[in-house]
Amino acid sequence: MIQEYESDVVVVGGGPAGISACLQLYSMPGLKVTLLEAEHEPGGIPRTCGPGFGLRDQHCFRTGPSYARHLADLLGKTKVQAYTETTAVSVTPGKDGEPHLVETVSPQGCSKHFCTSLILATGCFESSRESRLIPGDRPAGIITTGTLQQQVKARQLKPGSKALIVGTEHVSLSAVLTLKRAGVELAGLVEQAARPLTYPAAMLAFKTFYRFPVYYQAQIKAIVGKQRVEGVLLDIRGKERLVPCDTVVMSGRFRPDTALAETAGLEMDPASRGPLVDQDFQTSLPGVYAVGNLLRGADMHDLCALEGKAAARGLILAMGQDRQPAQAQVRVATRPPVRFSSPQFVDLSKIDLTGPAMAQTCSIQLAETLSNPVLKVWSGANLVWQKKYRLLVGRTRIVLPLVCFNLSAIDPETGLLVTVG
Amino acid sequence: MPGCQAKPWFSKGVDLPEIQQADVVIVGGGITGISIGRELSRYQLSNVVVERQADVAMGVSKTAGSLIYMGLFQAASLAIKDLSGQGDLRAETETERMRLLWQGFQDFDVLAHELDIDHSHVGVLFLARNKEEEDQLNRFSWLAQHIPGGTLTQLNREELFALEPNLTPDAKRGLIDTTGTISVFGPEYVIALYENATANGLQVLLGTEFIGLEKCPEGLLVQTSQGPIQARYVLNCTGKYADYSADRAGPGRDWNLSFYRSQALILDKSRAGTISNIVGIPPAPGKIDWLYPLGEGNIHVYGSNYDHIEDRDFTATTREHFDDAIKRMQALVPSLTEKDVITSYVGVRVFNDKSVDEHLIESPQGNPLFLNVLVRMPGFTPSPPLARKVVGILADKGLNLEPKEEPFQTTRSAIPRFRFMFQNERDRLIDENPAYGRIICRCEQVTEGEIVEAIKRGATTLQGIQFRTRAGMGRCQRNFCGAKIMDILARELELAKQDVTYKGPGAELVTGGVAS
Repeated sequence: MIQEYESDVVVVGGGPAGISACLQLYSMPGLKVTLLEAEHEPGGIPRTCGPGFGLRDQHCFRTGPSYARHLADLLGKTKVQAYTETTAVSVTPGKDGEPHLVETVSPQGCSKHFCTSLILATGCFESSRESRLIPGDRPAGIITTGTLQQQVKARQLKPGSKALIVGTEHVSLSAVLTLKRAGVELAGLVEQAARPLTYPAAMLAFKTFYRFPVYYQAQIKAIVGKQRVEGVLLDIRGKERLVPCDTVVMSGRFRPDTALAETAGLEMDPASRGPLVDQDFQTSLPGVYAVGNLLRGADMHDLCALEGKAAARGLILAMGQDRQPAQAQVRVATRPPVRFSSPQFVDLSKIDLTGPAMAQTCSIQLAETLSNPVLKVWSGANLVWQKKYRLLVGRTRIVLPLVCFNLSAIDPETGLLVTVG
Repeated sequence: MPGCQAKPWFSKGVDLPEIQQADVVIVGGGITGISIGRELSRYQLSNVVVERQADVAMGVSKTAGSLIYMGLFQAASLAIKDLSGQGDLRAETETERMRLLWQGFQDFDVLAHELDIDHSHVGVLFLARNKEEEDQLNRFSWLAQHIPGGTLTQLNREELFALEPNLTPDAKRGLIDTTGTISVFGPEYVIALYENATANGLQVLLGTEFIGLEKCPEGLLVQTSQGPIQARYVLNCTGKYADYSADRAGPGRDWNLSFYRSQALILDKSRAGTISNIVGIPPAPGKIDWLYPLGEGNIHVYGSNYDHIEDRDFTATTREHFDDAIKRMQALVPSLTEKDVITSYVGVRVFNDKSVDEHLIESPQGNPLFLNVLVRMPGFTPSPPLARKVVGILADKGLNLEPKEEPFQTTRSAIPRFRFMFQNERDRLIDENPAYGRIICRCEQVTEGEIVEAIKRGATTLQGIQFRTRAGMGRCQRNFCGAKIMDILARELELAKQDVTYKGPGAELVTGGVAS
């Protein structure tokens, strides 16, 4: 028998963003909240991560697993109905104020969850070797950091004996730690750009302490090995070099896991590859919200958690009001090397110093690390805001303070354009 | 490895000592070898397939173009494979090979129905952007009329864009064949045949390499990496390694193989619907420019040339070919981008120099009990009648074809395809077996139940699971499910996790444990 349930809010995804949304929603008395989690326990990706969790949302400094347990414990103390090992397979948006329908599958059977509002927090994953178009053979031994952590942290398995890491993002350093913990020798890091996509000081510290080479301006010409990886052929500024290794870790280049969002027919932003949202994290469908790394790939867990909370607050405030789609607001566009803006729509009327901080910002990412850049925000020919920086790290969150914008110079029809020079 | 326990990739259902004798030994477990094996399993014979790899369909069959075709696509295939540019294509439409292709095409629908092979009929649309391509279109229109199976319609620009609104705007007119092509996933086809053939008594030894052949009073002694098998007839169905196998069997090879490579891309399902027919430009010899919308929603991109290669194992992808394919993809459908690519592969096509337009099925001088079966590509479409033909040749050589007493089992059912089911069907399935309620691959919605069933049916590797269930074939390419599938394989096959492989021995996924 297909079970049917009704809730005020269904949250899909029990990671930092989803759990935080639940915790915030629970503060509203009488609200019936359901959390759907595909894994056997809530907590999300931090369950297999290293240290440095909880700073900005829980005001603590924990390891990933401890942070995940902490969030799960907080969740357990609420009346939020959490279903684990329950995969949401499709979303059918309710038309004209009808409830939204989320269909799920679990070992107990299939279920239908009807809800007034829906928060999607399905997270992200690292781009695969295949989708990065990295040429060469297709042997075993090519994994993402995500898989590496599943092998080492959740299963105590050693992925190989010598590993090359592709990428220099924050998560690449996390891969270094995990490989070291598993007793895997490091063959080095490979980066296409001329500089790391993490803080240079952090990279220097890791490099010095763990002693590995970092190949900048390096392209992978081929992964070599028929059955298992035997090496990676690099092209470093025109010079070829074969790096022997039996493991290649694809780190970073996160992309949103939009499989479920696509079933709902949410409008997507080709730049962020996630759903389009407004300042309250509402998507193109009224009453359907998207938070956390589903929006754009990996940002820090605690920022995702804060987004979950902010969305929940916005959702509570919007209850009982007419559902307004995101497009009714000002579009924030970007020009490369700015990768995207999140949210993609801002509501100028909500910008004031007294409102909740999270709903007052817009975040962007750059494709590469830049020295002495100037960020500029335009509305047509009008310069709305600009700021000079000493260093901006690529693929890392940069916050634009909307309250500092010259609001009178914004033409809502034209929208905003973020550039960097 | 004497004294060593048979590894699960080694054999299906049998240990070698039991089959020291066979009527027919087939070397090679691709579409050709398994089709012949299945055909032979209708008779009172003992037949064994030996396959070097850990699974069936691991050679050319794995990367074949996934189409069963006649009509316009067959006309295009003739033109592409006419590498010298000098061939008489019209004459080729009247060959024995063409007759087998047409027979195989007609057989396929029934076979697909009986063996529960997922397939869909798909239109083939060629567009012309300039005068030269328009001339080509006319030429193909003429050629395709001499090939059965197709139903051709000329399209003006308006009709063209009504059918395919996302085509490049410089397309002027088109030619469509609405009946001549069926899309199927090659490995799934071979696996379905394999499951059905083994249910009818065919024995398949995986991970078993053919080493050599000796004559003995009773016939032939086949030496394999797992021990000798005495046989009356031996077939060489080893595709791109057919020359090696022929030489291992003895002297007398009077043909050589040449190899051509092409690289293909697979796009994300989110682009499903961008095209609804196979679209392409009329091809020139050795050039392929077309996009396939496949049944599961992924578009396959062939924007490639037939590059002649000396090293038949050069299946590594290259950056130059990626760039080329993306450029050629966008020349057909400009809205597709590099970001849509989820994976890629290289196909190798094999030609022999003795029989250019026909299959080469013959015994070497002085060894009439050994038969080389070299298929002139395409190999999937003609496989059922080709198998019958080969069995007929064996009969001519003295093999006694006595039908079995028990009826031949004609049907096989596929592993449940959870992703295509309605919720109430899913609920019923989960009620019977809760493992069907545990989604392991989220991109393709594949459940633990399907994976366990695939293992029960003979999958022993991650790739074996992929080809049988689609787990890991989605956009994350095993990021979420790779470790979970490894767990399930280890559990079901009672293996240590470090013995679980991606595609057979040497392709282990992890190398050991972490000291705590």
